[in-house]
Amino acid sequence: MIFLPTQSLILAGVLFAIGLATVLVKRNLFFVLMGVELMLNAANLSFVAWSRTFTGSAGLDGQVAPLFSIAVAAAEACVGLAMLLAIFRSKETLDTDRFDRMKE
Amino acid sequence: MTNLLWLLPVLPAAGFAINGLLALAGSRRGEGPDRGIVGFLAVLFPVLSFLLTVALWWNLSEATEMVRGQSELLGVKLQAPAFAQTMGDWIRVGDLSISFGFRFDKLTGIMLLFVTGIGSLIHLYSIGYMANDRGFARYMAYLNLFLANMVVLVLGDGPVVTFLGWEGVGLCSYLLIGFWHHDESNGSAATKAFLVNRVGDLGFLVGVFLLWQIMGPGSSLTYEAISAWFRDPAHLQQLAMPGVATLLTLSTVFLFVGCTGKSAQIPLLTWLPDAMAGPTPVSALIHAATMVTSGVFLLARMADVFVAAPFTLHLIAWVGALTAAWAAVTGLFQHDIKKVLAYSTVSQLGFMFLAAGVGAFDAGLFHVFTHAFFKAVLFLGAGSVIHALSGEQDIRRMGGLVRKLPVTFAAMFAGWYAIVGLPLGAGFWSKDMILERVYVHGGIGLYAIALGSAVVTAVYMTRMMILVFWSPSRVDHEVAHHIHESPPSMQIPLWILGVGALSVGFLWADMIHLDWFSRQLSDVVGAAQASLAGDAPGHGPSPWLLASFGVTAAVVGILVAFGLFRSGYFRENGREPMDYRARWWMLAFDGLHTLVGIWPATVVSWVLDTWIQPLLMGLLRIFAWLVEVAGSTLRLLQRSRLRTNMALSVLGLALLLLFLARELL
Repeated sequence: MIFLPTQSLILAGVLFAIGLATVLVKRNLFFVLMGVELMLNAANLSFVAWSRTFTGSAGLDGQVAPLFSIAVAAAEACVGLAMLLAIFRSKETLDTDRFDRMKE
Repeated sequence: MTNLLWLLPVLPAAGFAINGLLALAGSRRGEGPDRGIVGFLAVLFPVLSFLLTVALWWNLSEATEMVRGQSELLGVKLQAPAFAQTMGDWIRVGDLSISFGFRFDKLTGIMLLFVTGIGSLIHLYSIGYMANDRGFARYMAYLNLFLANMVVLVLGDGPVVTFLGWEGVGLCSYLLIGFWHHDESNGSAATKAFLVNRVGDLGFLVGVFLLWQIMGPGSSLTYEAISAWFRDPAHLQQLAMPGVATLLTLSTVFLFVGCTGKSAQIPLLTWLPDAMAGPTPVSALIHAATMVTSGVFLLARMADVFVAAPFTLHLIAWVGALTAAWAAVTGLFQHDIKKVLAYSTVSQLGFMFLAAGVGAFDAGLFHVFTHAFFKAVLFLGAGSVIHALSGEQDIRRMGGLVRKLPVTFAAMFAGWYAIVGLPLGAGFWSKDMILERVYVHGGIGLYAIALGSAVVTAVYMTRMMILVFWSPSRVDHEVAHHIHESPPSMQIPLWILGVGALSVGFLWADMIHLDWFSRQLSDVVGAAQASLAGDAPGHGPSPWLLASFGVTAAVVGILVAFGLFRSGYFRENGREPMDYRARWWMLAFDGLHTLVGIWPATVVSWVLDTWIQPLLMGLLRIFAWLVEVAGSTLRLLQRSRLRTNMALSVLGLALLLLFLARELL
């Protein structure tokens, strides 16, 4: 029987949409980063789901990729938070609308 | 042996490379590189080139004798031998294919013998003359480079290879005229020489390619092929067609314009007197003995072409005669010893062109050959005088040097004896040869002008000798203390060239049946001259009679000069400006250049500056404004808000994906 990843994909889509909405709507840079994490996890989820579809329970190819992705995301979060701290120190704010010095 | 042709230009070029590097390497030090090494190398390479030329000439003469023997045996005229070497393809565009090759025949040989021979002597002379100059190594490098280019000019197997050397000698001339570039006037003299020569060079190129048009696309542009094409009777009919004849006249006139540029003939002659700003040995080598004769060389090289264009030949003869007369008269009122010699060079070149114009290419070349000797010795002698007088060039402040500079006087006396055409000197034989041919083939008008120029030549040359050597001394007291005869490196060339100026005429002394020179050239220009002599009247009066006219002209000129000196006409000691009529006469061609060259250029540049430039700038501004408007419009998309930007990029990505999905599904 072929596993259809419909539910998983719907979940991934919802997750992605929430992440995107967070990124686009939130003005706080901290929440923007959270949104990015959500989108990443949505992608991971779809990876796993499609892996199950194409390689069955035996194949692990598609399941390995999210592991790398999680590791990279961890590093990214690390750097991102560090930068966030640095920005906060110099700007005293995390409001993205105030970051407009490249306008001119 | 024959595959060593490439060495002829490469040897002096190597001298240029080594000396140039030495000059660069030593430029930081105050003194420059060691003069001994530089001087030795600078003389060594031209001498090697000269020895190689002699060896090649020897081989060629033997080969010629052999071929001549065979033709007598077989009863047919065989092609005269020549050494040729092709390095390979050079230019290949469409139908045009030009190979890079050298050709060594009798004409090339004679030119090379005196180019490298006199060139070596002048290199030797320069060691003494330039010994105290800061740019010694640079000077020697330029001189070597000049020699390399001159060899290419003479040795090229086609007009395009010749053009390479033609441009090269122009460049070296520019570099050496402006050698003392701390003086701005030297720099502008160099620029003038270069620009005037460029006009001629353009004529040369246009002429060559018109010639190629006539011969038909696909034909090869070598002297051999050109001569063969024009000698071929099958092409006579084609040449008689009006269109082709006009084209040929145009082509030869353009080639002649090229020659007038390099050889300082009317109208492109104003640069040569100004070129005297360079060091005196340069004037001797480039602006008297070798480079300026390349125009006559080219006429002889393409003799077969020129004899097919009678109009151009007439033009050449008249231009030559008028140049000879104009420059001789101008020489009369020069005060600078080098300027006197410069105008005399222009005048003598006029004689050579006159000879070529009446179809006596061999006589013209013979005058090139003898002139190289006597003008080189005159210039080197003048250099020796200038050297002795600590740089004084004004003949009004010389005089009485005959006792103080005996060697220089002897050498210059030999040169003077030759140039005025007194019996048995080199100029006597060559100038009389020209006068005779002009009388026979050119008519009485040209002959009268030429004879008149010969008289004036004797006047101004004698005037120079009187003012420099024979008159009472007018030298400044301070300078008079330092007068000294030149070092041996300057005296040796003076001796050799002085003896040459008196004796080389015997290589072709027609009246006493010595015709070595004309026999050498008969293979190259003989056919062309024979075809021209066909429609000329037979032999004129006896050569002895014409020669006596020539000698009379010289004697009259000398007597006039002495008479004018006695009557006090030359004793002008002052520094007053030149007589206005003389100035007008001298600067006539400068005025002409201003009128036809400089003023139109000024008007064009004024129009460009006041009308075209603002127009273009306006267009440019409009474009700049358009770009700016487009940029600021597009910038509206680039919101400074991070969220908006991201939303826009997500939107773009979504649209792209939609599009892709539609394409794929």
